[in-house]
Amino acid sequence: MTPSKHELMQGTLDLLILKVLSADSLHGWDVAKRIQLLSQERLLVKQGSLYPALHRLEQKAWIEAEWGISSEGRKAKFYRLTKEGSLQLTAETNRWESFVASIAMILDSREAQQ
Amino acid sequence: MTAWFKKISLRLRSLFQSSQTRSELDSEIDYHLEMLTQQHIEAGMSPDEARSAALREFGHVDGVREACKEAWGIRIIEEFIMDLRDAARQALKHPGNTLAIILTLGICLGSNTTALSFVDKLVSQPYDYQDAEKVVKVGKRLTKTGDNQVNVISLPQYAFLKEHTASFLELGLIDDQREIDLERDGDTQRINIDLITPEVWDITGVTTVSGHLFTPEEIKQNNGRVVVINEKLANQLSATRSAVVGSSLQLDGEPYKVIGIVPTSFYLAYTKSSAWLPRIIEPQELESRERHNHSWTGIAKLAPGVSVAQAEQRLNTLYQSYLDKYPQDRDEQERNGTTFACVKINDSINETVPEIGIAFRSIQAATLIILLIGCLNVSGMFLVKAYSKVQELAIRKSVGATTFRLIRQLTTEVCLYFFLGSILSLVFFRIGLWTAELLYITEIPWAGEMRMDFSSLASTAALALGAALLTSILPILSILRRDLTKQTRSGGRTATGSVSKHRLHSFFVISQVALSFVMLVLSGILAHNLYQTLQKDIGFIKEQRVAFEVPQPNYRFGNDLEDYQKNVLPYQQRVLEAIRSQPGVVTASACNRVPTSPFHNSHNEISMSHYEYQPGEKRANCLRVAILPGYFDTVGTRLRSGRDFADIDTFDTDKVVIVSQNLIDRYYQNKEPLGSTIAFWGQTLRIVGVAENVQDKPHFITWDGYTIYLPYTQWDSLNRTYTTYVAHLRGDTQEQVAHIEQTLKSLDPNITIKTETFQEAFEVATFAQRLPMLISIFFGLLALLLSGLGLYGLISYIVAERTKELGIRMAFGATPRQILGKILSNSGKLLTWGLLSGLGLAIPITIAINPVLDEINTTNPITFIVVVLFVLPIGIAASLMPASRATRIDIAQNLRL
Repeated sequence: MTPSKHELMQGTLDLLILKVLSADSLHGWDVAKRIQLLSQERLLVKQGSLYPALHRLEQKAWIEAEWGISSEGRKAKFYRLTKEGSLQLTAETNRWESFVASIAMILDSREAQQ
Repeated sequence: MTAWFKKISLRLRSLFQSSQTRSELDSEIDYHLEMLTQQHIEAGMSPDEARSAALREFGHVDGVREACKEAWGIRIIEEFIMDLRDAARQALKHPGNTLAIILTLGICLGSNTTALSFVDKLVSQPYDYQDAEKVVKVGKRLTKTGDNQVNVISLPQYAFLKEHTASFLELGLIDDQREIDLERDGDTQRINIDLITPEVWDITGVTTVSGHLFTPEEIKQNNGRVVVINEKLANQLSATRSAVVGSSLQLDGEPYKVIGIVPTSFYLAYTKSSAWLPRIIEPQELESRERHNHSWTGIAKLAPGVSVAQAEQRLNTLYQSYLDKYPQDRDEQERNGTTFACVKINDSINETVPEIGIAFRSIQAATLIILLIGCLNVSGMFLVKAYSKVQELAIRKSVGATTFRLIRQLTTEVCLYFFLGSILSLVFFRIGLWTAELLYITEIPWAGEMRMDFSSLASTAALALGAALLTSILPILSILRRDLTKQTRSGGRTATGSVSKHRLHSFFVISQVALSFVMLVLSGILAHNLYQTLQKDIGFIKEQRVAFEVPQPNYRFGNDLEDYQKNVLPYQQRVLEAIRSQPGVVTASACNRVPTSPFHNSHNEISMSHYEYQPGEKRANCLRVAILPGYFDTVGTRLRSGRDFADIDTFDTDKVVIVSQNLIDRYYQNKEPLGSTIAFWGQTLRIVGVAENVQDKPHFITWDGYTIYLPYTQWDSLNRTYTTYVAHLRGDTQEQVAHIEQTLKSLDPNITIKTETFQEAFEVATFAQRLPMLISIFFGLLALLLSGLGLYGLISYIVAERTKELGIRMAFGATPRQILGKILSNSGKLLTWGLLSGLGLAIPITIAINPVLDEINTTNPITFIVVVLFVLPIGIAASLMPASRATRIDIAQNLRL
């Protein structure tokens, strides 16, 4: 059975991009693929929306870019996390975890009532 | 910090290398699409299918590009540039209209900024000392005399205050309006100086541009021979400042060491001084009898935490202790309600000459009305512009432009005009300064260096911009909300919402006409007032009369009675003979002050042999004028009775005096004045003549005093350091003056002469009346011009909008005359309403100001009639131009549209 696909929640794409870039320096196509891979293809990411997000993060100086050669031998723009970006990632991760925990708490309490 | 730097450099790169940034984005997207296509091909799709699937998955490529641009933060800038270009194109398309708007804005903003800058500099903040809020003028207030200002003090009073006020004030002394000879390279130059105690530096907080300021120790070490000069004088002395500091200046024949240079903008009192010398108080100046010699200004800085009111309270109490020390002054205290007092230095000028404050506030009021008219005018013009764009805006909105985007576009256009208008206002500010010079405003000593007040320009512009945006954008938005579909479908040809827009615009035009009517009525009243002032008998003839002020400094002429008789009096005679020897001179004499001058005001309270003052009665306060025989003849003042001074009035004969007619009218109703005596300073003087009343002080100084004339030949202590020679000339005054100056120079190579015609002195003296009148006439005409422009704009718009209707009417046989009548009836209505509302506003205003200008009837209907006769033709001319255009409509062309 194929797992059901989820639309990405508002604002989470930035977090995912920061996360996948924390391990490696990647170009746009690779970022998209890495997100698909890590989510085991359960997240539905509109490929095009990746680029405005990347450019926005670059403008915020959370990631920086450099032109290089991809594994396919093509010229590509590689993004990598900056120091500010990694601080941001930690902050965003904490916020996300606390958010998930809060939601879970509510859901748990509803179950208990039933 | 580095993050900020990175952000800014990225933003700049996106903006200035946008084509490169864009091509980089394109290659990123291309690469992604290729990889995605490749993936699908590998999964078994045909290349075409794979490409289509990739594009589908990727999403709208242009949308992605736009979203990225937004992320770069440059889209808003690109749109702004686009809007700006569009606005500029529109502006160039209608150059007449554009020029009208920019001119209106330039005039309004420029005049307002000028007025605000002047009011700020001359009325609100005349002294820009450091911590000026804490600086006060300290002196005496005579609470019972009705003159509530803080007056000068005597040296014993200063010493008393200095001793008792240390806990709440730091007190200093200014001995101002002094002149001194500066000798340089064999040439003598007369300069204005102030003598001050060293505390004054600390109180004013002035800092030097070079060198330092004198301290008590330094004064002692140098025996008082130190001087601080201003930059202007320093530049005159030498090109290099370092060469000036430490050098020696020959002042009144003594060498002084220049120790510091202060900015030219620094000034202390009513004279523009260029040098400051230490005031050393000699022990004999502190003797008890000196306490009636009031000539010095006290200046102080309040101690931290002490308010002006608290300081005033403590000074009040101190006067009681002062009276304990000098009990003989109690009588004067009871009569005049004398007390020590202080006033904030920046309020002191307004207190002394409130007329100047009133004059400038009236200018400010006039410019505010102009600003209002300008705002109405510009708003009206923007309204017309915006309406002509309704269709375009509606189309843009229907293809997806947000309302916010449309507002931005309209705002950009309005802002462009305001930017250009603000630049033009700088030119008008400059013109304002020139006008100020022409009107002698810069002669006001504390006018100093006028600077453009950019904050007031910004606030005025913001106010006007707000008004323009509000009136031009709001109505458009309401139309866009309501009639969008109708507007697009109709092709914009019908005048949607025409009633509401005309009502608004008509209201603007009516208000403009009404306001300019009010302005013109006010200027008419002021002109009438000035005419009355100028018609008044001033008691002397100002035409062809010239004054030459020549100093007789103590260092050259000595300082005791013997020196006076040996040096000063013969010198005066020699100078007079030299002047009289000129062919163009009718008569010549001398005095110590030119009538109407605000300077050289010395007064004495006199007692009269036959008159007993009631307890508490105000003493007759007389202006003292020293003269030589022939003075009355020369200036054209009539002697009502008695005789002029003559050679027989000398130090060996009885002291004599000539008094003004108003003294006689008040005190000598039942007594023959000639032969009776008056007394002051323990001297008795016999009245030998009565002169007609003379306008001695400027019109802006309220003064109800009397004048006494004393002969130079009987007094050595009065005004011995200078003489003002007056001459009645015939022919070309300028040429004569040059001859006289030359003759005097050859008589005495060290002479310095300050020449002033009586006419000039009179113009300065009446400037407080002249100024508001000229300004109000100027602004009244400006207001009329602006409302004419407003009317023109509205009528042109109505004509343009009704072209089709008028064309049809003409096709059906309406004559041009009928068309003209139809259009003119519109403007006739507007003008009538404008004039009626103007009348409604002007009548209560004129009734309100009637008591202020007591010499004229401000509600005189002739003023109103003249103004109406003035406004009507301008209004008709403004509407006739566009109306006549309507009669030339090409019917065929028009109906094809």
